[in-house]
Amino acid sequence: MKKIFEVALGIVTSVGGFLEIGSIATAAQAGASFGFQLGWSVVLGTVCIAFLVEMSGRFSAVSKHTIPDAMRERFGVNLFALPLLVMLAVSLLVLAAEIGGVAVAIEMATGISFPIWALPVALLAWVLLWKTTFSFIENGISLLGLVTLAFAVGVAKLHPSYVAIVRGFVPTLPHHDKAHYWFIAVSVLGASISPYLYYFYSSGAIEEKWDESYVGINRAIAAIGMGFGGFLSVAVLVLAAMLFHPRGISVDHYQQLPELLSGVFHRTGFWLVIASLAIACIGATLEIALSLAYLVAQGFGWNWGEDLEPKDDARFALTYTILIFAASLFSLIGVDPLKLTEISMSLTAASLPLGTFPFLILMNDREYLGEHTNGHLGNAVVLVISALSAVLAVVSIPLELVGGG
Amino acid sequence: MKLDLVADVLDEQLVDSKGRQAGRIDGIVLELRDGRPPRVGYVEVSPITLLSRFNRRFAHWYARHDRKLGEGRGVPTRIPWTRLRREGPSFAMDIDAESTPIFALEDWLRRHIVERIPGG
Amino acid sequence: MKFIEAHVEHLLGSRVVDVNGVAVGKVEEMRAETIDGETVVTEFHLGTAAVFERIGAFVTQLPFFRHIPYARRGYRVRWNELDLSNPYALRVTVRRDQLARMELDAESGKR
Repeated sequence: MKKIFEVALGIVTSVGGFLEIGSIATAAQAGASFGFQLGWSVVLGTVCIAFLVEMSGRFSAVSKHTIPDAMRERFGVNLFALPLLVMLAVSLLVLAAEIGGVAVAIEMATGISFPIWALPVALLAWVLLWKTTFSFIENGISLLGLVTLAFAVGVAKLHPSYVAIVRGFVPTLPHHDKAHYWFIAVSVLGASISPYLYYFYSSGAIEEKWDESYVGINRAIAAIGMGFGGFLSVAVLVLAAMLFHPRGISVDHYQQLPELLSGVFHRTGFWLVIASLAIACIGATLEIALSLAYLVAQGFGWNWGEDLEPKDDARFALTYTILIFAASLFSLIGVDPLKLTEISMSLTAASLPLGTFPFLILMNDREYLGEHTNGHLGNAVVLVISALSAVLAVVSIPLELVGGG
Repeated sequence: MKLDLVADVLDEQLVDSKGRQAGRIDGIVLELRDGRPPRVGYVEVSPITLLSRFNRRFAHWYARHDRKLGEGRGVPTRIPWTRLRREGPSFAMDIDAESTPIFALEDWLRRHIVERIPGG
Repeated sequence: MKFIEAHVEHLLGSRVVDVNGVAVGKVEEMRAETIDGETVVTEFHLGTAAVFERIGAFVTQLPFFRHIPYARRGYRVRWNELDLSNPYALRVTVRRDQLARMELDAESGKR
């Protein structure tokens, strides 16, 4: 009985964590520019992250190691340093984008421009991490994050052609704006397949003291949780496709996002989008900051844990403190959060293999996993999708820059 | 009992006698002896050792600054191999890490920064 | 100058040549045993095969593993065959063809 409750909680957790500025912005841009045609990129990204999250949960539950622990132990310091540094750099940009997302949401609510909100948002995030526990954050943000279901309700009220939506799940080639098409596809992939998500999940499993008996639950949580998150991303894409695409409008400013629901829900729709944006982004901010602090602390072997008080793990606590405030600088100086989102998502896609390939080696290691090593399907899915993302990114980013997208 | 030093000892997590995480095994020191096999003498736990695996000069620079922090600093902390035993995924040492410089930075940060902030 | 200590983490990756100066490989692993209460290094594993042994058996089971150049090349050097008098210029005391080769077991990746 307790386990069923935990599954439910886990699913809620995943839903709350999946949708954030990256998925919302990229799905909206995809829908606005290409209608339902890019639905496949959301599906592909969701499938990949679901596999990765399941693997990372299984890895930690069975081996009692987190992924960064195992990366250093198995590959040694010199090999481990490169993925560490790249991931820190790219994730810092994503963190900056999330803080920007919250700031923009507040700007839309108050009319006061977003750079002013950068430090207050950082402070709020920091206080939550400093003073509360892992469960409090996970559960609180997840429950609040259910407000994003508004996007799904909005789609239902518009009565779209569900057949047309599903048709978009099959990859097709673009007829126009080819470079832009692939660039958005890459951004969607980078937004869905966030390394910090599965690193975070692995540390979370240890914080929650999972063991081998959780392998089954973990599978349910990963599939349903990530699946539901992907479903919400598709909802955003569909809304943008139905509201912006026919009018030839592309999404270039955050201020356009409330239009996704203001048609259907009127004034309430405006507030629903702002609330969704703010909550999803603050949740992502907390997760990324923790994820990076876990990565650093575990790499060095420091004491770590959100359930500990900061005085018992000073270096861990100060790491996330420094990261949050450093990331807030981007918004503070006025860097456009939408541009920041685009850049960080495509960089994430480009650097995916650096994290996933070593991870796959670990997932097939019997010393860590015993009989729970990966099957061929899991290996193939992750390998193919991360290689695909990287290739697409390397090709499309320069084209996009040249094309002036 | 056979042990692979690189795969099974280097970079593994260290846990002290009070169950706290006390860093990772950043280095292993072998004693060279004439006509006899090298003996595993100590493990080293220190950012100095860690840095020296990337760049010696940087490691020396760090050591010079670390020395200024007090007595006995500026050199890597060595734990005798005989004080270690394997415990699950980590190595446990029967020494309290407080009695070593391992927690020096952590303690300094706690005293001078963390405890000055409310809620720490 | 007599070296009385050597560091595992620095020996790792060091190039080793044989008595005639022929390249043998890089140190990738040191195997230790506990004998008479002391833990001592009995073997040094050199070469690419040793790297694969460390990183994981899974890699050796990949269908294309056999085609990776030099993937299975490796040597097991006994402690008394390696001259550690200068850890910065390691040499074995015999010819390379006199050293024991490493054979990776396809099943477990271990020998």
